[in-house]
Formats: sequence, structure tokens, C-alpha cells
Amino acid sequence: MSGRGKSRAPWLAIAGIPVLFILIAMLQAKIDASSRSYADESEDLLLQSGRGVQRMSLGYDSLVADIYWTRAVQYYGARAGVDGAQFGLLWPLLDIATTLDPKLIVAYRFGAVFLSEPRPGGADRSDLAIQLVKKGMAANPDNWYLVGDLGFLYYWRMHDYAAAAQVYMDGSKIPDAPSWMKIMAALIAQRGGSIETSRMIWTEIYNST
Amino acid sequence: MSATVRPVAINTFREAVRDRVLYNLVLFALLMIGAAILVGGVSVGIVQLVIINLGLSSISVFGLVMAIFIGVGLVYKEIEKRTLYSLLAKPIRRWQFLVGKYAGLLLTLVVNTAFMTLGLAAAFFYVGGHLERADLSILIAIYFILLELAMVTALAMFFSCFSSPMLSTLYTLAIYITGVFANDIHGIGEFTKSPAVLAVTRVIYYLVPNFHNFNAIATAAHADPIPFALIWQNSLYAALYILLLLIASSAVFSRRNLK
Repeated sequence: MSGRGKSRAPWLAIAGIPVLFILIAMLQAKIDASSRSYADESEDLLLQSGRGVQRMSLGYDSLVADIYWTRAVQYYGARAGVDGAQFGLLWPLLDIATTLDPKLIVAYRFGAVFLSEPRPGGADRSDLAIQLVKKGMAANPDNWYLVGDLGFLYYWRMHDYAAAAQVYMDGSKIPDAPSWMKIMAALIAQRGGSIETSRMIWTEIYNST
Repeated sequence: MSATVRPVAINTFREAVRDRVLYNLVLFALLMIGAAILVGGVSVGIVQLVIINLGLSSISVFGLVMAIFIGVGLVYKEIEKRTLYSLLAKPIRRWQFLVGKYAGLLLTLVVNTAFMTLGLAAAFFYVGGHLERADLSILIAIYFILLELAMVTALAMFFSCFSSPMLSTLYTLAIYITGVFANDIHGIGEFTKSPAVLAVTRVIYYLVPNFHNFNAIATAAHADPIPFALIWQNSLYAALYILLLLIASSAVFSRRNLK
């Protein structure tokens, strides 16, 4: 290479590299636009097994769990309130996050809300929400918040008052469980879906989160 | 440390610093600052949890990369550059040279980890964390990471005694990954119900270093206590494994023809 060529090289780099980066970014945007629907489908195939992801995480399970939980929040946030939105990946994302870190209480609690909310605010899958909270209770038997959430789901979403009363009654036996659990069990068993009871649950949830 | 081992160790540490190995701290600092600022905006309820998980995982990954990539060149580089010949002409035994090299890299890893721990603490306080007694688990998790790195360094140096850096990296990585999955390998043997498979998986389970023992990141992130028994058991396990590898390295290296 000639001496003249060498002296030009830094200027070429200063001018050329940003231009190339801009071109690459524009091309990536184009690729994203043309493959968005494909990406959604292929993501679905990649996300099914919590145990599989756990093995691939090479021991960094809890960090990967945080990433999956964050993805679940982003996924829900992008769809909540949008008419016709599908929440197909919400359960696999939450299941993987909680398999990777069974003590990630926030994922069980908020995840149950995301799953149980009626459309378009959520996935309208109270059955999966109950499954998620039960999974959390199995992994964290001393956590009375999760028992309270399960009781709420049975009471408010499923209208299964007998099951809700039983859950609150069982929850009241957990060490450090608040006294209102026993009162809730009694009230639900006695009255069923009254406004007074629902106000009490909401007040308690508001105060405890 | 003996008077013959110490200079080798200190020179290995100086060489690592001269090779700008500690520059990775800049990357770590950027990672922690970025995470501290971004995480709060994109997630719900787990800001401090993410900072601890990310910090501890990064300390582990950065340390592993250093331990493997520097460890595999520890002996090989000295032979390639022929600096080993002038060193061995001095009154130093081959095993002392190895122990010095090992101690030097270990010192580098300890200094590196100490700085990263400070970075993690800074990010933790930035996101509103405050230290409690339960957070002692974070320091214990970092100690376990250091034990893991000490074992990986010994492994990498062992392979470095008789193989090229490329192959040594592959061997070390293969054993590291096998060690991470040690419990799964044991589980597979029990699942198959075949006595032969069970015997083979049991041998592998006890032979490879069980790195699963040293993973306390999740426990620390949730501020759960780490039993004292696990601390001394892991310390002893690592010490025995490192001793075994150093003896094996010395045996291989002392028989190696350097002409």
C-alpha cells in the first residue's frame, strides 16, 4: 500500500464506520419488519421447557429467571388492553421463570394477575393462574401471600367459595400469617360473593404489596 | 509461601496486569452501571434481585474466562517463549515453578474479584439496597465463586502442562460443563435403572469436580442463609481437588522433556 493510501485510512475509517453502522441498522429494521410474524411463531417453539432452559443456563439459573420474568412483563405489557391480543407465550414464560428460580415470588404473584385478568386486560386463564400460584406454594410453603392470592383467585375469578374458604383457612395456619385470613375464611364461607368481602380483600392486597 | 515460589507468583501477577487483564473491570463496571439504570425501567419488583444475580453471575463468568484463557497458557507460553529454560536454570524445582504460576494467577483472580465485588456493592446501593445480616450470603457466594475459579485454574494449568492452549481450553471447558451437570449425570444413572449405566455415571459423578456444589447465587440473591457446614465442606473439597491437580500437574511436568 502506498504512503498516500495509509494516510487516508483513518479518515476512511472515521467516515466509513458510522455510515456502515447506519446501513446495518437500517437493514436490521427491514429484516425485523419482514420477519415479525415468523419470529413470533419460532419463539413459541423455543420456549416450552423450563427444565431444558435450566440445563442450558449452565448454573446461572437465577439470572436467566430474571431475564424470563422481565420478558414476561414486557410481553404482557405489550398486549394488555389491546383488543384481540393473544397471550399464548405468557404461561410458558412464567413457567420457565419460576422453574429456573422457584423463589421468585414476584413472578407467581404478578404472573397470576396477568393470567387471570379478563381480556383484553389479561389472558383470562384463571386455571393457569391457579396452577402457577400452587406451584409457588409448593416451592415456598411458608409464604402466606401466595395462599392469599390463591384464595382470591378461587373467590373472585372462579367463584368457588368453598375452595376459597378452605384455602384461607389453611393459610391462616402458616406461621406469621395475618389474622384476617381466618376472618376471610369465615366471611366467604358464610356470605359468598358480597361487596363487603371483596373490599376487604382489595384493601388487604393494597396494603400488603 | 517459600522464597522460590513467591517471585514466580508475583511475576505472574505482574505479567497479567501488564497484559491488561484487569481491563475487564471496565466492562464489568459498565455492565453494572447499565443494569442499575435500565433494570428498574423494564422489570417489576426485582431490581435488587437482578443486580445481585447479574453481579454474581458476571463475577463468575468474567473469572471463568480469565481462569481458563490465562490458565491454559501458564506453562505453554513459558515453553514457547523459551523463558522457562532460564528460569529452570536457577535453583527452583519444576513443582515450585508450577505452584508459583498457579498462585500468581490465583492472586490476579482474587484482586479482580475484589474489585468486581466493590462494583456490585456500588450498584446495589445505587438501586436503594441496604446491607443486612442476611446479605452475608452474597459474600459467601463470592467466596464459593473464588473456590470454583481456583479449581478451574488448577484444571487449566494441568492441561497446560502437556497440551496446546487450544486443546487445553477445550478439555477444561468440557470438564467444567460436565462438573456443572454432575448432579444431572448422577440422576440419569438412577433414572435408567441399569446397573452398568448407574456404575458409569456414579464414577463420573465422583471423578469430575462437582461445580454444582459451589453455586450459591440464587440463595444469596434471595438473602437465604448458607449453612456453615457447606462453607467448610466446599472449602475442603476445593482444597483437596486443587491439591490433587497440582500433584498431577507436577508429576506430568517433571517428566516432560523440554529439549
